[in-house]
Amino acid sequence: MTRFANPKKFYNLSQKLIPILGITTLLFFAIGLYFALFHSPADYQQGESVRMMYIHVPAAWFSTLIFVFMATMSGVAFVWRHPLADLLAQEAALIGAIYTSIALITGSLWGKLAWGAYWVWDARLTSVLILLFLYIAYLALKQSMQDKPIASKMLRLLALIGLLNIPIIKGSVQWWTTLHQPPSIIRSLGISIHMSMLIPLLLMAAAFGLFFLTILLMRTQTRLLNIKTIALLKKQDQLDDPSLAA
Amino acid sequence: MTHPLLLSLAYASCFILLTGLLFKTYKKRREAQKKFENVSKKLK
Repeated sequence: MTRFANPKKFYNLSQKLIPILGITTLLFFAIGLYFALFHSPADYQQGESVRMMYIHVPAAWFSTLIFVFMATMSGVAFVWRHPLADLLAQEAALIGAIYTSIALITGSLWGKLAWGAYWVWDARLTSVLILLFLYIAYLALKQSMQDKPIASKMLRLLALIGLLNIPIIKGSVQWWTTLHQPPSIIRSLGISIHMSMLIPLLLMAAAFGLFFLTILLMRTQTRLLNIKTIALLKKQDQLDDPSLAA
Repeated sequence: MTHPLLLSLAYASCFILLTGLLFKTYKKRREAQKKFENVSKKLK
């Protein structure tokens, strides 16, 4: 695994992986959407609106998982000072923010159908909104401190502090009385969802996961290319040339 | 609003955001690739 932590090897490996991941993502989305929209049954209580679940739940799962990934990479960067870990954490942030927005938008629309309101200041909804603010703060900090050496340290710290919000999101539906339903897919007694709904849900979750990996590799490759370009420019003292530095 | 409208809105917003992210990423990667190739060529 550490072999691929070398930026050059990582770049070459992602070059091979991106097309494979891209095609697999497309396949999973196509099959997942077919099952989600046409094959899975309507819910006996919620009717057709249950189909919101197939985009809302995977987006919500990955919005928290991506933040855990960012915090893990930040921890790795703190301990081993590996620059690739920093890059991976930073490039995952925008994808996490998009997934969190999807979870909030679809959740809000689903809420209108299930509860009669687009938004309630419920513990789960509020903690996910805080997660979106954390992603935005991370991206703003990254943007404002681009090349400063302290930027990476500040970003790592923000990701690690923000990690505290993840158990709150997870526990919010169990610790407090909320309008949002408690965990209904995996419970202590096992899986509580019928296979006809579980299969499309897992297919869509796989599609969201593969999409995340594809975009993450593409974004990290772009950063590596930019770093290589700057290194080349510095090497030849051509940074003053505006046509190249632009 | 009705079920089909809200459902369509949810799926549409989800895929608009995902496609937007994909295109933004692809565009940035292509630009970085071009810039790198230009700089490499000039240095040769």
